[in-house]
Amino acid sequence: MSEARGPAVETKLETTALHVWFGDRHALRGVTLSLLAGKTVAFIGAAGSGRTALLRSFNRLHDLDPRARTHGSVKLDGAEILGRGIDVLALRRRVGMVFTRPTLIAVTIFDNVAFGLRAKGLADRIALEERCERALRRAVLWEAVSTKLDRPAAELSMEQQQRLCVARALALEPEVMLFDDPTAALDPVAGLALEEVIMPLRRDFTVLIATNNLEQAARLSDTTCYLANGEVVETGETPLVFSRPSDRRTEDFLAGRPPGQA
Amino acid sequence: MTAIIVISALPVTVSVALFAAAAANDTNIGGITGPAVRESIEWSSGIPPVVVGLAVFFCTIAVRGDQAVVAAVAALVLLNLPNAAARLVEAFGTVPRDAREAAAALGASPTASYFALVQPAAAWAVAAAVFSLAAQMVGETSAVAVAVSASDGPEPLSVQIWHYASNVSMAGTEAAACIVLVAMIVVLTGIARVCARRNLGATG
Repeated sequence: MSEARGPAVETKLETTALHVWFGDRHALRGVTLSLLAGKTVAFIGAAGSGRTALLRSFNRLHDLDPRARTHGSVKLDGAEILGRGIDVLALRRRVGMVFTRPTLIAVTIFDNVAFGLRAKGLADRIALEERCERALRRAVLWEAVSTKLDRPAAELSMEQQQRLCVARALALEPEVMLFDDPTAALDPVAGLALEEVIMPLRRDFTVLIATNNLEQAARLSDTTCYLANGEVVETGETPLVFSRPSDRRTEDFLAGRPPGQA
Repeated sequence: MTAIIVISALPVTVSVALFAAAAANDTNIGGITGPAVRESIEWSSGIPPVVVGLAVFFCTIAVRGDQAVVAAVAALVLLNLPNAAARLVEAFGTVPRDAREAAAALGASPTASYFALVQPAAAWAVAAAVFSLAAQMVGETSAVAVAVSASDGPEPLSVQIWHYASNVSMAGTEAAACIVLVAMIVVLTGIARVCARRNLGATG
């Protein structure tokens, strides 16, 4: 597992003039950001603001979409991750991701957690079991599933399935965790329960979370970044952004006002 | 002879079609050959298959001499490739895109995802496509088998039926041959339908 970093100050992720297109749609427009290691950053903004497009740039998931084009620079620990010659599979193991909806990719609970490890080449059953147990414990799911690891994952509740997805990403021991609106498909109680899982992860990982839920952003993040129309409008410490936004557009968004209205 | 031709042609068709379908389904599979295979399948689906099949059939005979069975197999493969690829693309489409993305996000290569995720999830759909394809091939051997009958060896079922159709004294044999041919197609189609239903059950 990643070492706790304490008061880390080094830059973990950096984007410079990052543009992403999906066909004719310009989803990200010259995003330049610097994200510190060990911090939790919330990306807020209206639907279509580019939050998900930005998150998916950090693990190059856009590569799967033949319509997607990316231009600019994204660096992880100072090393460029866009362009040719990058080991994208290794990158995705360093940058784990949890999607909006829980997505099961194998039948049993165990096989879901072990999927990434097996894809990495880990075949030893004992090592697999150890890594899976550790990941399930971190996702606060071990107690609930330890006696039924061979049962279909589809039998779990929606919230447990989302925890399983968290465990699946954690099993690879990544350095960065991306959460793409992870509670949007859950009811409020289950959403809060999942936040309880994410909260302690902030100590050990650089966590980036795209969310529609402003309260969630305020609770979880150290830094908040407001995006609109594919551009970064404002980035700052979360308490400051929420209490004294420096940009009128951020203020309008936080107040739930249409842009430009008093 | 019908069985020999179908059994020889089926694995080749399914293998090429699986690759084509996988490449069509995921642009990251197949490298530079992926787009070429996708393009050629799309092109060939626009040409009447019987034209492609018979052209290959006679070209093979012209190049390799009296290799009628080999030519028939080659013709049958090309005749059915666009259809087989289309069926398998449809079968793979039953695996949600989300699942493929989730696998990729865990560092699984496109090929590893394909074998670990797409194939098992779409196994029943693939089986349905393969049996349905086999049934179609059994029927389609008729056209190429007429030409194969010029060579030595046992006549394919469809050729026997064709040869003795006007011979009243062979009516019983004719009827039996027809029943066997139809029964093969019905059984294969039935298995395909069972597999398709199982797939529906598995995917909800």
